[in-house]
Amino acid sequence: MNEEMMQLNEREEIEMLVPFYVTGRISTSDALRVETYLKQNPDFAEHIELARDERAATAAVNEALGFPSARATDRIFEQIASEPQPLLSRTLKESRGLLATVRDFFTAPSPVAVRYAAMAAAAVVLLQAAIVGTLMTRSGGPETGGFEVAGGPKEQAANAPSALVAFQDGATLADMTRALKDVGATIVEGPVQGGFYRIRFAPSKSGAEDAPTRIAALKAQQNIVKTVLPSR
Amino acid sequence: MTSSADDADLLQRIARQDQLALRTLIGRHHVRLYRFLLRLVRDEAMAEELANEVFMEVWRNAGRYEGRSQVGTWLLSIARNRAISRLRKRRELGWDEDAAAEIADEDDDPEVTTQKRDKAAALRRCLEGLTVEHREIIDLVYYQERSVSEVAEIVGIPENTVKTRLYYARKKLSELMLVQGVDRGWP
Repeated sequence: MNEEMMQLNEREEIEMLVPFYVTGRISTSDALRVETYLKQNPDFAEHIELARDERAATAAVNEALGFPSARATDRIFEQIASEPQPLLSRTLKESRGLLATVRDFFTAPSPVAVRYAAMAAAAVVLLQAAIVGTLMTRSGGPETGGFEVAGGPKEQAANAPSALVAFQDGATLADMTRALKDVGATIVEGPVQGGFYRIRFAPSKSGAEDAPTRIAALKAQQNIVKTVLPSR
Repeated sequence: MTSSADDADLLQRIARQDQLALRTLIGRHHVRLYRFLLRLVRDEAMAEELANEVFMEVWRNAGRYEGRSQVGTWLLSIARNRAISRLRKRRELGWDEDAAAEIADEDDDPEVTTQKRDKAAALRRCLEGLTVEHREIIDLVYYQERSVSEVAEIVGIPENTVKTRLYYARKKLSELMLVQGVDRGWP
């Protein structure tokens, strides 16, 4: 029988909804149909149990497949690093757009209010560009496309203390960024097996070894951070 | 499952070439995506390579995501297209006769006979014996936890076909279980 040609009775229609009912990925009206049918036909509970068994077996089969190798994620970022730097080209493109905006401001026959609005927008873009530039200079990461002399900040960073951190499932990107920023850390690798990220602490201004204090501060953010393990 | 709003936010950041956002997205979806691909292509190295291709495509084209579907659904859709394209090259798509034969042929193995008594283990073995097409729909619904409309989008078939294909996959599962000596009492 063709998949599209099947003639259904009520029970078969409900049976088709059951897998979605047991996963909860079903519309309210369809869930109601299943529950109403179940009330009228208590023996149908056995069929719902069958679907629950199928779901458990499917999860077991998938979980037995293991994980992608720890190197897999590294390869993605190696590939990204080997590609042309779109961030720089985008920044340049935006700069050209900004210049064009400024030029238009002086040449376009628009009302004064619109011109001031355009000028304000241009100022915002300039400010953002300045912030991006500052971050890129400070981070010195491979994404900046910059270069440094031996013994420079990049080499110091390589010797800086590091740790492995796992975040809570519900943590948002903003939470994670803030938590790391608070302790002067940046992500340098990951996620590796177990969902851990390797972070590196920026050298302290005093030069003192304060990694344990910073790790403790990170651990204290329990609503964002799940685990922190010291590492070198 | 992750919040779709958070995932969409990550994609916006990735479109601005934010590598931390990409790492976070990978952390959330890598394992499920890899397993989905591995179930389709049955080759660990190929599944890993395809998963990486999906994330590279996201890195390059995150700006094209229009928010019409959940990010997870979008990723699975890209992954499936890439897997099919690769499998076509290897001419491997279609009925998995080898796997079905494997189940029937193992009757004499005492270890397998013991396993048959374990209904859950038999069910897991029979899931492996389904065709690629049936395995895929079962995985998408039960493991990837996609709705009818999301499966329709990923597989590229009408919603009614999603329901009937899943129905037949489950019936086939009952037939394979019967061969294993387990009567599920359905259909």
